[in-house]
Amino acid sequence: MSTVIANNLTKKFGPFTATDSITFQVERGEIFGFLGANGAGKTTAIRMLCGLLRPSSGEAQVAGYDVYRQADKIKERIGYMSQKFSLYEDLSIRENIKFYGGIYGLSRPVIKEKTQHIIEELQLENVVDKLVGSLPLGWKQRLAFSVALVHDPEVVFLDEPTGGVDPLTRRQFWEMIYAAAARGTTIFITTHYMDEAEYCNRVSIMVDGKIQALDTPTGLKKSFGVDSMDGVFQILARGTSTKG
Amino acid sequence: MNRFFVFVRKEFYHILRDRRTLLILFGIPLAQVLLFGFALTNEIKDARIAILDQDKSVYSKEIGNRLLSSGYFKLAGYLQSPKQLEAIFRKGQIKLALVFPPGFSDDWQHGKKTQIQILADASEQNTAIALNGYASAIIQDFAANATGGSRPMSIEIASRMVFNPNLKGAFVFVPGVMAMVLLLVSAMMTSITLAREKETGTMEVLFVSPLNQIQIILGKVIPYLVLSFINGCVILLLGVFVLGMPMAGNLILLLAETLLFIFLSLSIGIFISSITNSQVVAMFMSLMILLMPTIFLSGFIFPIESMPVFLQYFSNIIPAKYFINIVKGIMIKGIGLSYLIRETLILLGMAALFILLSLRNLKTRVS
Amino acid sequence: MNRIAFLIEKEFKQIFRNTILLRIMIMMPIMQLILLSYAANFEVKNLKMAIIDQDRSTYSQRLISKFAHIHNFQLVAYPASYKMGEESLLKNQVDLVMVIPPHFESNLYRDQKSAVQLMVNAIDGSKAGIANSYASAIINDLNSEILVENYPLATQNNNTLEITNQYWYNPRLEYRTFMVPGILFELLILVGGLISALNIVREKEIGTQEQLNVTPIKKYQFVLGKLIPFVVIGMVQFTMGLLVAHFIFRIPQEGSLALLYAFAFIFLILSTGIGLLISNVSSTLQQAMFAAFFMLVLFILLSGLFSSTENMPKWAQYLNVINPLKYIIEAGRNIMLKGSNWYDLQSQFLALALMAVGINALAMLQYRKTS
Repeated sequence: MSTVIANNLTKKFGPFTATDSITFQVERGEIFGFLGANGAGKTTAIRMLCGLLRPSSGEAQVAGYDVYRQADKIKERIGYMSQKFSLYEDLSIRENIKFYGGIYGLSRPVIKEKTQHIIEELQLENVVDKLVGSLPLGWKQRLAFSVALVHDPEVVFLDEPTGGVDPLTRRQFWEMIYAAAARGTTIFITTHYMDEAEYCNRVSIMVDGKIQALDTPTGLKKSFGVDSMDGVFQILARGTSTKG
Repeated sequence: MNRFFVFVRKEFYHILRDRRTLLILFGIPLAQVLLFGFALTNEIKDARIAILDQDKSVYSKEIGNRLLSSGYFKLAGYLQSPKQLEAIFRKGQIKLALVFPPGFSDDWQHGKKTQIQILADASEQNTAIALNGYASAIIQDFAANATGGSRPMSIEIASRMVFNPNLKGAFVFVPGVMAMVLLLVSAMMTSITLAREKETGTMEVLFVSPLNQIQIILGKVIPYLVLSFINGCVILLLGVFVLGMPMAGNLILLLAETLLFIFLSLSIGIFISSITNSQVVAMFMSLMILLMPTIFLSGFIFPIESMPVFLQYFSNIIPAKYFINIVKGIMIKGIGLSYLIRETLILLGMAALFILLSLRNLKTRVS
Repeated sequence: MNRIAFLIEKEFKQIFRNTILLRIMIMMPIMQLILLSYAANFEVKNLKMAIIDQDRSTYSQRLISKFAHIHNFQLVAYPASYKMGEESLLKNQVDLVMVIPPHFESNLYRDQKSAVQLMVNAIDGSKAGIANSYASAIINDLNSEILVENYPLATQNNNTLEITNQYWYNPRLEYRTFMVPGILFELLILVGGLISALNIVREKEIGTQEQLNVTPIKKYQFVLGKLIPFVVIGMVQFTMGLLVAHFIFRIPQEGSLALLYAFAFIFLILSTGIGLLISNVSSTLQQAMFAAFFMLVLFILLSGLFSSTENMPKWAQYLNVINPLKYIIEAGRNIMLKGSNWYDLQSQFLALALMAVGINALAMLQYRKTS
């Protein structure tokens, strides 16, 4: 069964429709990209799937649970990383991991094990007791991702996680994403970087709240007769009134 | 110049959009004026009193009746024994107790010394003193009339209540509320807004823009100046038309002094924001170092001359003290600038001081 | 349950790590308490007085001397004329002026009566009233003395009625004794309510709140995770404030300390609940600050801290029914100054407990993990 299902999912804020009847399905272990310009409705969509925002209409299921009535069950099985990273800057790395592990109900021995694992994987041995606020941006980013995975969720939602970092750091980040997907975690990622679209298994492009295209990157490039995702987007965005 | 105005307009939008804060900003003065004007009064009336009449004579009853019909007292009950006194005071049910000893009227009629006891709950001191005074006066009056005759060699006291003949308590605080609200808007909000910009890093972005530092700060501060001024005027209008506060002096002078105080408050707000990067710290500093001392030490609520000496000296560095005097002087006494030169100069001096300090801090920060 | 422990642990770590804020949170209220308690005095004294003596007789000198020896008045000026006396009032140099007219003494002998004029700066109505009655009492005092000296026999009958005054609970008539318990609790709600509100709104602003909303943490766990640390800190502040009250201001502790703490505890739960409510409706720190401030100003003014609640008009008294400060100040004063016990204060405790439960329940219901 697909891990994320959306059916005519819609969100209106008064007269303004942020997300207009979007429909898609994401399979287990897939890296699913949600592309679009700023203001296209990506963040609204992801927040509905995470149980942060109540949809106006339509259906959605995450990890087999309904977003309207079983939001709490969904939250036990998903991870989330926002643009702001949302780690506690005034707590140390170790303390952040311990906190989120505990919040997700992991036992102390398991938390210890996870902490060890994360430290080794990210090579944070020297700074494990330093405050997160003192870390460089790229490290924070990767740490936030690891923390989002601490409870082995089925799906991880990433909302523009690579904003403001250099290409090398982005590359390293994507390696972590691949590794997680390979382990069976479904990755749902929104971004406005068109080159990141190439890294996804499948990509959907949102324009003004609607999904205008949904396919593999290769498939999209072929359909639109261009050789880059950027080209695809240009074509899609041209004929509509964009909010930039 | 054009860029500057665009910037100022953006700042106005920011503020106007935050409806909730605006509501509160104008709600606070309104609430305070209403409260101070109509609810908080030091007038004494209907104070609950208990009477322990162990004499039950015509005289004791008469004294009791006079007290109760004076309007100052309201009967809570008649006690049967002295033992009940402690309990009823402890429960906080009465403010005063009147005790007539047994045999009171007999002793008095026969020229022997007798005693009436007035017990007051002095946890609230001024009220106790006042109630005591009223009760004593009524009893004395009764005693004097009962024995008859007018006194020789009496000194009459003619009291004139100057500036406020009707002893209206309601409007003495309007200047205080003004000072408080102006400080709140100008100093506190300014410091928080500027600190916020620094926290989110947008300040640096602005510094890199074509506008120079001074223009940026001025741009941020002007909306608050306008807001404060409007608020101040609203309070004045409320004070005059709703509470009946007089406006004996020169309106232009009053408005000018108000602007001066706003200007001073703004410079303090800028100063506070120049010494911290955190919104919360700016908030607390404004609250604890500026607003609270102003409310309590400026003479607004507690009289300065009743404070210990070290606090009286301290009150001299609180700007609101001078502003309150200025407003009272202009509105209630009707005096002009010549009487208020000292206060005005002090406010000007303080404003200059804070501006200089802020400039110095800002220069070192950016370089 | 365990998850709440994680929340609390994180909260304490953050608080203790933020030394600036910690210092502000603990030290500033204490400093305020000290400053305010010294300032909080409605006693009318040190009034600056000017005397215009146009008689310069023995009696006028005696009158002046009487005023010179009373601490309520400070003789600062002896204006040469009536006009100059008025000037000194305009200039705020004096609070009242006494004019002893010419022939003051001789009129007493010749006409059996004389007059003295008082001009009182009445901008502050109640202060003026008290100043006037003090001054009048002193003049009447002189009057009695003169009477006794001149007519020793006739005055004997008038003195058979004696009025004795007793001031209970505050025999030294110190205002401070009355104010300090009130100020202590006012600071508790200020700091407790405000700090918890700011704390949560701050988390909203930086995004960690959202991160928590995505987790399976339940509403009550979140609320308790904030409530418990802040109540604990509040108790620490309360203890410090109590120590200050006892040792610096010598406020008595007539009643049970345990009862006082019980009240403080329930009051802190209430304050933090208010902070939670405020944070629910605020999205920026500025909004939280102003919402908290507005409410606190209302509560403090109505609470009876500065004026008696009985004298308020009916509508204000109704409003006061939902003012937690009113109940806690009554309870605090009564316990500390009068030694009231549990039975005396049951209704206050009940009111506070009801409000605490109600407010926190409301905050919890209002809190939305999903918006």
